[in-house]
Amino acid sequence: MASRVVRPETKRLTISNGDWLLVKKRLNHGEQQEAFARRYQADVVGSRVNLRLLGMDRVLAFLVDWSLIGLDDQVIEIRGKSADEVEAALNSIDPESFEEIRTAIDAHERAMADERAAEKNGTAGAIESAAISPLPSAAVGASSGSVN
Amino acid sequence: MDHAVERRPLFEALTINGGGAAGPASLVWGYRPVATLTTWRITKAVGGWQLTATLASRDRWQVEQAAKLKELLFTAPRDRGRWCWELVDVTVGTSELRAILGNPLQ
Repeated sequence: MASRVVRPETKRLTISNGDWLLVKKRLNHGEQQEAFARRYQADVVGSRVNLRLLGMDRVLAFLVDWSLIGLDDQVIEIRGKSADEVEAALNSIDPESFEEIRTAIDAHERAMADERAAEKNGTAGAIESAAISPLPSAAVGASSGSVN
Repeated sequence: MDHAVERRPLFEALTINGGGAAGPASLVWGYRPVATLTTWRITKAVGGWQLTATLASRDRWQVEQAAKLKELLFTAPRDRGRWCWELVDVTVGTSELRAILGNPLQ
């Protein structure tokens, strides 16, 4: 019988201009809850959606590392940084690049969900996941690979 | 003439200390940090590498799970990069951690 514990594995997604993202293959319950918690902020009338973080919560939940460089031509280090620091790095990139990252992570999350559903139904391999790709306007040839 | 040179290890014993201003070290399981170590010492003696460290925090369940699977790594900041070792065996106390390390990965 398969374990329900989520092994902390990563997957590498290639985006435009030869850049790559290293993302969590799947979230466990704790990571999912953390992402939900970031989406909401408490105020005096209860909880409401934090519009400033719209789309950011899923990116922060999945993103582990990347190849994006800063104005000094050095890789912007995000691995092992706090969510606030990663959010600051994401806020510093141009909107089109953020959208490309968000779209790639959304597609990855859908592909993983499909794969998981196929495994649960015992039909693993029968469903073909859509290729993970950035925005249609971005470069072609998106690919992915797994890293432990 | 015999020019054979006896191969001997460069160091008989070696100690590396870390933590403090250099920043904390971690035990990681895949991408996930499962323990934070404030100060640490690695010694190399006959028999291999050994780690002793002060624990700031740890997720005991995940440390045990990853240790059982032999998937724990020790990682610590150093000049221009990070140290990284595989953990062969680990004992976690309330505030101290001891481990036998495999060969350094980087």
